Amino acid sequence: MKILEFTTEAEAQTCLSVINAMASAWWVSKGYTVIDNNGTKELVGKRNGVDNTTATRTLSWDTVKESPDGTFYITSLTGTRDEWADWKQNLADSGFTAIGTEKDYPDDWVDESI
Amino acid sequence: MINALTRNIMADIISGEVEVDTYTPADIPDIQLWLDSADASTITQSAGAVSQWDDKSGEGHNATQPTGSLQPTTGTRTINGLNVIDFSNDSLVIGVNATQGNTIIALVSFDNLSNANFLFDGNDQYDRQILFNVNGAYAMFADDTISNGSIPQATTQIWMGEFNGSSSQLIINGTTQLTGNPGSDNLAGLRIGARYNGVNPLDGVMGDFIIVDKIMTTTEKNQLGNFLANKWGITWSDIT
Repeated sequence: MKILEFTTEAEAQTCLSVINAMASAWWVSKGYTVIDNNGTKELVGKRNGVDNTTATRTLSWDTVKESPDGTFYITSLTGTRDEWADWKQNLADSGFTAIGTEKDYPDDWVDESI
Repeated sequence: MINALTRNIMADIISGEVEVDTYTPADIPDIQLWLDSADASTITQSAGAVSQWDDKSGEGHNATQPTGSLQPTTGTRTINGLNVIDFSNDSLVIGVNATQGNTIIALVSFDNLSNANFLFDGNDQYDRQILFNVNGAYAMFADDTISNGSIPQATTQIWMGEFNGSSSQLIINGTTQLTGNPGSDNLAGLRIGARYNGVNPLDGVMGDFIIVDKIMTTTEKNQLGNFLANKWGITWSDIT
Protein backbone atom coordinates (compact mmCIF):
# COMPACT_ATOMS: atom_id res chain seq x y z
CA MET A 1 0.00 0.00 0.00
CA LYS A 2 1.30 3.42 -0.94
CA ILE A 3 0.67 6.47 1.21
CA LEU A 4 1.00 10.22 0.92
CA GLU A 5 2.93 11.61 3.89
CA PHE A 6 2.72 15.22 5.10
CA THR A 7 4.40 17.30 7.77
CA THR A 8 1.18 18.76 9.13
CA GLU A 9 -2.36 17.51 9.56
CA ALA A 10 -3.67 20.57 7.72
CA GLU A 11 -1.58 19.74 4.63
CA ALA A 12 -2.89 16.18 4.63
CA GLN A 13 -6.49 17.36 5.08
CA THR A 14 -6.16 19.85 2.20
CA CYS A 15 -4.83 17.18 -0.14
CA LEU A 16 -7.59 14.76 0.91
CA SER A 17 -10.23 17.41 0.20
CA VAL A 18 -8.81 17.97 -3.29
CA ILE A 19 -8.74 14.20 -3.94
CA ASN A 20 -12.35 13.91 -2.76
CA ALA A 21 -13.43 16.66 -5.13
CA MET A 22 -11.61 15.00 -8.03
CA ALA A 23 -13.09 11.61 -7.14
CA SER A 24 -16.63 13.04 -6.96
CA ALA A 25 -16.30 14.43 -10.49
CA TRP A 26 -14.95 11.07 -11.71
CA TRP A 27 -17.87 9.13 -10.21
CA VAL A 28 -20.40 11.51 -11.76
CA SER A 29 -18.70 11.08 -15.15
CA LYS A 30 -19.18 7.33 -14.76
CA GLY A 31 -22.91 7.65 -14.18
CA TYR A 32 -22.97 7.48 -10.39
CA THR A 33 -25.04 9.76 -8.20
CA VAL A 34 -23.20 12.13 -5.87
CA ILE A 35 -25.32 14.05 -3.37
CA ASP A 36 -24.15 17.30 -1.77
CA ASN A 37 -25.03 16.98 1.91
CA ASN A 38 -24.11 20.29 3.55
CA GLY A 39 -20.86 20.42 1.62
CA THR A 40 -19.97 16.73 1.88
CA LYS A 41 -20.10 14.95 -1.48
CA GLU A 42 -21.76 11.59 -0.77
CA LEU A 43 -21.41 8.82 -3.37
CA VAL A 44 -24.54 6.68 -3.71
CA GLY A 45 -23.73 3.01 -4.35
CA LYS A 46 -25.70 0.70 -6.60
CA ARG A 47 -27.43 -2.58 -5.87
CA ASN A 48 -28.29 -4.72 -8.88
CA GLY A 49 -27.36 -1.73 -11.04
CA VAL A 50 -29.78 0.67 -9.35
CA ASP A 51 -28.99 3.49 -6.91
CA ASN A 52 -29.44 2.24 -3.34
CA THR A 53 -30.25 5.53 -1.66
CA THR A 54 -30.92 3.98 1.75
CA ALA A 55 -27.54 2.24 2.02
CA THR A 56 -24.33 3.61 3.52
CA ARG A 57 -22.77 6.17 1.17
CA THR A 58 -19.09 6.70 0.47
CA LEU A 59 -18.19 9.93 2.28
CA SER A 60 -14.45 10.28 1.68
CA TRP A 61 -11.52 8.59 -0.01
CA ASP A 62 -9.73 8.23 3.32
CA THR A 63 -9.19 9.78 6.73
CA VAL A 64 -6.05 11.57 7.87
CA LYS A 65 -3.99 9.51 10.31
CA GLU A 66 -0.97 10.37 12.44
CA SER A 67 2.07 8.13 11.95
CA PRO A 68 4.40 6.77 14.69
CA ASP A 69 6.94 9.32 13.36
CA GLY A 70 4.61 12.21 14.15
CA THR A 71 3.82 12.89 10.49
CA PHE A 72 0.37 12.66 8.90
CA TYR A 73 -0.68 10.46 6.02
CA ILE A 74 -3.49 9.26 3.79
CA THR A 75 -3.74 6.29 1.42
CA SER A 76 -2.45 7.10 -2.07
CA LEU A 77 -4.57 6.47 -5.14
CA THR A 78 -1.57 4.84 -6.82
CA GLY A 79 -2.10 1.13 -7.38
CA THR A 80 -5.81 1.20 -6.61
CA ARG A 81 -7.86 1.57 -9.83
CA ASP A 82 -6.36 1.35 -13.31
CA GLU A 83 -8.60 4.29 -14.32
CA TRP A 84 -6.92 6.43 -11.67
CA ALA A 85 -3.36 5.80 -12.89
CA ASP A 86 -2.99 9.44 -14.02
CA TRP A 87 -4.35 10.96 -10.82
CA LYS A 88 -1.19 12.93 -10.02
CA GLN A 89 -1.04 14.45 -13.50
CA ASN A 90 -4.75 15.29 -13.34
CA LEU A 91 -4.25 17.11 -10.05
CA ALA A 92 -1.20 18.92 -11.43
CA ASP A 93 -3.18 19.95 -14.50
CA SER A 94 -5.75 21.49 -12.18
CA GLY A 95 -2.98 23.41 -10.41
CA PHE A 96 -2.63 21.30 -7.25
CA THR A 97 0.79 19.80 -6.54
CA ALA A 98 0.93 19.65 -2.73
CA ILE A 99 0.47 15.87 -2.55
CA GLY A 100 3.16 15.31 0.06
CA THR A 101 5.66 12.47 -0.27
CA GLU A 102 4.43 9.25 -1.85
CA LYS A 103 6.01 6.13 -0.30
CA ASP A 104 5.28 2.53 0.62
CA TYR A 105 3.66 2.08 4.04
CA PRO A 106 6.77 1.62 6.22
CA ASP A 107 7.26 -1.82 7.78
CA ASP A 108 8.29 -0.23 11.07
CA TRP A 109 4.88 1.45 11.33
CA VAL A 110 3.16 -1.96 11.48
CA ASP A 111 1.73 -2.70 14.90
CA GLU A 112 3.03 -6.18 15.81
CA SER A 113 0.80 -6.58 18.84
CA ILE A 114 -2.55 -8.31 18.87
CA MET B 1 -41.43 -44.66 -18.42
CA ILE B 2 -43.19 -42.96 -15.51
CA ASN B 3 -44.58 -45.43 -13.01
CA ALA B 4 -47.41 -44.87 -10.57
CA LEU B 5 -45.12 -44.01 -7.65
CA THR B 6 -43.31 -41.36 -9.69
CA ARG B 7 -46.64 -39.97 -10.87
CA ASN B 8 -47.86 -39.71 -7.28
CA ILE B 9 -44.67 -37.95 -6.13
CA MET B 10 -44.87 -35.52 -9.03
CA ALA B 11 -48.50 -34.86 -8.21
CA ASP B 12 -47.61 -34.20 -4.56
CA ILE B 13 -44.86 -31.78 -5.57
CA ILE B 14 -47.19 -29.94 -7.92
CA SER B 15 -49.89 -29.77 -5.26
CA GLY B 16 -47.40 -28.57 -2.66
CA GLU B 17 -47.76 -31.60 -0.40
CA VAL B 18 -44.03 -32.44 -0.58
CA GLU B 19 -41.81 -30.23 1.54
CA VAL B 20 -38.57 -29.54 -0.37
CA ASP B 21 -35.49 -29.10 1.84
CA THR B 22 -34.80 -25.36 1.70
CA TYR B 23 -32.39 -25.07 4.63
CA THR B 24 -30.45 -21.84 4.88
CA PRO B 25 -28.32 -20.46 7.73
CA ALA B 26 -31.20 -18.09 8.51
CA ASP B 27 -32.97 -21.15 9.97
CA ILE B 28 -30.38 -21.53 12.75
CA PRO B 29 -31.84 -20.57 16.16
CA ASP B 30 -30.20 -17.44 17.66
CA ILE B 31 -28.50 -16.44 14.40
CA GLN B 32 -27.37 -12.80 14.58
CA LEU B 33 -25.68 -12.29 11.22
CA TRP B 34 -25.49 -13.91 7.80
CA LEU B 35 -23.52 -12.26 5.02
CA ASP B 36 -23.66 -14.04 1.66
CA SER B 37 -21.26 -12.84 -1.03
CA ALA B 38 -22.99 -14.96 -3.68
CA ASP B 39 -26.20 -12.93 -3.37
CA ALA B 40 -25.71 -9.76 -5.43
CA SER B 41 -28.98 -8.33 -4.11
CA THR B 42 -27.29 -7.89 -0.70
CA ILE B 43 -24.29 -5.91 -1.95
CA THR B 44 -24.19 -2.15 -2.54
CA GLN B 45 -21.12 -1.12 -4.54
CA SER B 46 -19.60 1.56 -6.71
CA ALA B 47 -17.58 0.12 -9.61
CA GLY B 48 -16.95 -2.93 -7.41
CA ALA B 49 -16.07 -1.09 -4.18
CA VAL B 50 -18.39 -2.36 -1.44
CA SER B 51 -20.00 0.27 0.79
CA GLN B 52 -22.65 -2.03 2.29
CA TRP B 53 -23.15 -5.80 2.58
CA ASP B 54 -26.61 -6.63 3.88
CA ASP B 55 -27.39 -9.11 6.63
CA LYS B 56 -29.66 -12.02 5.60
CA SER B 57 -30.32 -13.24 9.16
CA GLY B 58 -33.31 -10.97 9.57
CA GLU B 59 -31.59 -9.07 12.40
CA GLY B 60 -30.60 -6.05 10.28
CA HIS B 61 -26.89 -6.16 11.11
CA ASN B 62 -25.61 -4.77 7.82
CA ALA B 63 -21.86 -4.42 7.26
CA THR B 64 -20.81 -0.94 6.12
CA GLN B 65 -17.77 1.07 5.07
CA PRO B 66 -18.11 4.78 4.15
CA THR B 67 -14.37 5.31 3.47
CA GLY B 68 -13.39 4.57 -0.11
CA SER B 69 -9.83 3.37 0.48
CA LEU B 70 -11.09 0.77 3.00
CA GLN B 71 -13.83 -0.75 0.84
CA PRO B 72 -13.32 -4.38 -0.24
CA THR B 73 -14.03 -5.44 -3.82
CA THR B 74 -16.88 -7.43 -5.32
CA GLY B 75 -17.43 -8.83 -8.80
CA THR B 76 -13.84 -9.72 -9.62
CA ARG B 77 -13.27 -13.18 -8.09
CA THR B 78 -15.20 -16.40 -7.64
CA ILE B 79 -15.02 -19.70 -5.79
CA ASN B 80 -16.98 -22.61 -7.28
CA GLY B 81 -18.46 -20.11 -9.72
CA LEU B 82 -19.85 -17.91 -6.94
CA ASN B 83 -18.89 -14.32 -6.20
CA VAL B 84 -16.61 -13.67 -3.21
CA ILE B 85 -15.56 -10.42 -1.52
CA ASP B 86 -11.87 -9.55 -1.99
CA PHE B 87 -10.17 -7.99 1.04
CA SER B 88 -6.80 -6.21 0.91
CA ASN B 89 -6.21 -3.47 3.48
CA ASP B 90 -10.01 -3.24 3.76
CA SER B 91 -12.61 -3.76 6.44
CA LEU B 92 -16.36 -3.58 7.08
CA VAL B 93 -17.98 -2.60 10.36
CA ILE B 94 -21.13 -4.08 11.90
CA GLY B 95 -23.09 -3.11 14.99
CA VAL B 96 -23.64 -6.64 16.25
CA ASN B 97 -23.25 -8.02 19.77
CA ALA B 98 -22.68 -11.62 20.92
CA THR B 99 -21.92 -12.99 24.36
CA GLN B 100 -19.96 -16.17 25.06
CA GLY B 101 -20.63 -18.92 24.24
CA ASN B 102 -21.15 -18.02 20.65
CA THR B 103 -20.14 -19.35 17.26
CA ILE B 104 -18.61 -17.35 14.40
CA ILE B 105 -18.26 -18.92 10.98
CA ALA B 106 -16.40 -17.65 7.91
CA LEU B 107 -15.78 -19.06 4.43
CA VAL B 108 -12.30 -17.79 3.65
CA SER B 109 -9.24 -18.27 1.45
CA PHE B 110 -5.96 -16.47 2.22
CA ASP B 111 -3.98 -15.01 -0.69
CA ASN B 112 -1.01 -14.22 1.55
CA LEU B 113 -0.06 -14.80 5.18
CA SER B 114 2.06 -12.31 7.11
CA ASN B 115 2.78 -12.08 10.82
CA ALA B 116 -0.90 -11.50 11.58
CA ASN B 117 -4.00 -11.33 9.40
CA PHE B 118 -7.40 -10.86 10.99
CA LEU B 119 -10.60 -12.42 9.61
CA PHE B 120 -12.45 -10.24 12.09
CA ASP B 121 -12.12 -8.46 15.42
CA GLY B 122 -14.26 -6.41 17.73
CA ASN B 123 -14.65 -2.76 16.84
CA ASP B 124 -12.93 -1.39 19.93
CA GLN B 125 -10.01 -2.44 22.11
CA TYR B 126 -12.17 -3.63 25.02
CA ASP B 127 -14.67 -6.09 23.50
CA ARG B 128 -12.76 -8.41 21.20
CA GLN B 129 -13.22 -11.84 19.75
CA ILE B 130 -10.86 -12.71 16.91
CA LEU B 131 -10.15 -15.49 14.45
CA PHE B 132 -6.85 -14.85 12.73
CA ASN B 133 -3.55 -16.01 11.32
CA VAL B 134 -0.57 -15.54 13.60
CA ASN B 135 2.72 -16.46 11.93
CA GLY B 136 0.94 -19.02 9.72
CA ALA B 137 -0.97 -20.73 12.54
CA TYR B 138 -4.71 -20.82 13.28
CA ALA B 139 -5.43 -18.48 16.18
CA MET B 140 -8.27 -17.35 18.46
CA PHE B 141 -8.36 -14.41 20.86
CA ALA B 142 -10.88 -13.14 23.39
CA ASP B 143 -8.35 -11.38 25.68
CA ASP B 144 -5.70 -14.09 25.29
CA THR B 145 -4.21 -15.81 22.24
CA ILE B 146 -4.28 -19.54 21.57
CA SER B 147 -2.85 -20.90 18.32
CA ASN B 148 -2.05 -24.17 16.60
CA GLY B 149 -1.55 -25.81 13.21
CA SER B 150 -0.64 -24.36 9.86
CA ILE B 151 -2.92 -22.39 7.53
CA PRO B 152 -2.63 -23.21 3.82
CA GLN B 153 -2.61 -20.31 1.36
CA ALA B 154 -5.05 -20.13 -1.55
CA THR B 155 -7.23 -22.84 -0.01
CA THR B 156 -10.95 -22.43 0.62
CA GLN B 157 -11.86 -23.29 4.20
CA ILE B 158 -14.81 -23.09 6.56
CA TRP B 159 -13.62 -21.55 9.84
CA MET B 160 -16.06 -22.29 12.70
CA GLY B 161 -14.93 -20.60 15.91
CA GLU B 162 -16.67 -21.52 19.16
CA PHE B 163 -15.95 -18.87 21.79
CA ASN B 164 -16.81 -20.57 25.07
CA GLY B 165 -14.19 -19.80 27.72
CA SER B 166 -12.01 -22.82 28.52
CA SER B 167 -14.10 -25.00 26.18
CA SER B 168 -13.42 -22.89 23.09
CA GLN B 169 -12.40 -24.47 19.82
CA LEU B 170 -11.74 -23.69 16.18
CA ILE B 171 -13.12 -26.19 13.70
CA ILE B 172 -11.80 -26.17 10.13
CA ASN B 173 -13.93 -28.00 7.55
CA GLY B 174 -15.31 -30.20 10.33
CA THR B 175 -11.99 -31.01 12.01
CA THR B 176 -10.94 -29.42 15.30
CA GLN B 177 -7.66 -27.55 14.77
CA LEU B 178 -7.47 -25.62 18.01
CA THR B 179 -8.80 -25.97 21.55
CA GLY B 180 -8.20 -24.03 24.74
CA ASN B 181 -9.14 -20.86 26.57
CA PRO B 182 -8.79 -17.66 24.49
CA GLY B 183 -10.35 -15.54 27.24
CA SER B 184 -13.80 -14.33 28.14
CA ASP B 185 -14.36 -11.20 26.04
CA ASN B 186 -17.71 -10.78 24.37
CA LEU B 187 -18.41 -8.99 21.10
CA ALA B 188 -19.79 -5.46 21.15
CA GLY B 189 -19.40 -4.41 17.54
CA LEU B 190 -17.49 -6.21 14.82
CA ARG B 191 -14.91 -5.36 12.17
CA ILE B 192 -14.52 -7.86 9.33
CA GLY B 193 -11.23 -8.02 7.44
CA ALA B 194 -8.89 -6.33 9.91
CA ARG B 195 -7.95 -5.63 13.53
CA TYR B 196 -10.30 -3.37 15.53
CA ASN B 197 -8.24 -0.32 14.52
CA GLY B 198 -7.99 -1.34 10.86
CA VAL B 199 -4.46 -2.79 10.82
CA ASN B 200 -3.28 -6.42 10.35
CA PRO B 201 -5.72 -6.83 7.44
CA LEU B 202 -6.91 -10.01 5.78
CA ASP B 203 -5.31 -10.51 2.36
CA GLY B 204 -7.77 -12.91 0.77
CA VAL B 205 -11.39 -13.53 -0.07
CA MET B 206 -14.49 -14.20 1.99
CA GLY B 207 -17.79 -15.88 1.10
CA ASP B 208 -20.35 -16.43 3.83
CA PHE B 209 -19.91 -14.88 7.28
CA ILE B 210 -22.22 -16.00 10.08
CA ILE B 211 -22.64 -15.29 13.80
CA VAL B 212 -24.79 -17.49 16.02
CA ASP B 213 -25.27 -16.28 19.58
CA LYS B 214 -24.93 -19.72 21.16
CA ILE B 215 -22.88 -22.90 20.91
CA MET B 216 -24.52 -24.84 18.12
CA THR B 217 -25.51 -28.48 18.49
CA THR B 218 -23.51 -31.10 16.62
CA THR B 219 -26.42 -31.54 14.24
CA GLU B 220 -26.61 -27.82 13.58
CA LYS B 221 -22.86 -27.59 12.98
CA ASN B 222 -22.91 -30.44 10.48
CA GLN B 223 -25.99 -29.10 8.73
CA LEU B 224 -24.40 -25.69 8.31
CA GLY B 225 -20.98 -27.13 7.46
CA ASN B 226 -22.43 -29.35 4.73
CA PHE B 227 -24.54 -26.49 3.38
CA LEU B 228 -21.45 -24.28 3.04
CA ALA B 229 -19.24 -27.08 1.70
CA ASN B 230 -21.78 -27.99 -0.98
CA LYS B 231 -22.23 -24.35 -1.91
CA TRP B 232 -18.51 -23.56 -2.22
CA GLY B 233 -17.33 -26.88 -3.66
CA ILE B 234 -15.27 -28.13 -0.72
CA THR B 235 -15.55 -31.05 1.73
CA TRP B 236 -16.92 -30.98 5.26
CA SER B 237 -16.07 -33.91 7.56
CA ASP B 238 -19.06 -34.52 9.80
CA ILE B 239 -18.41 -33.92 13.48
CA THR B 240 -19.27 -36.99 15.58
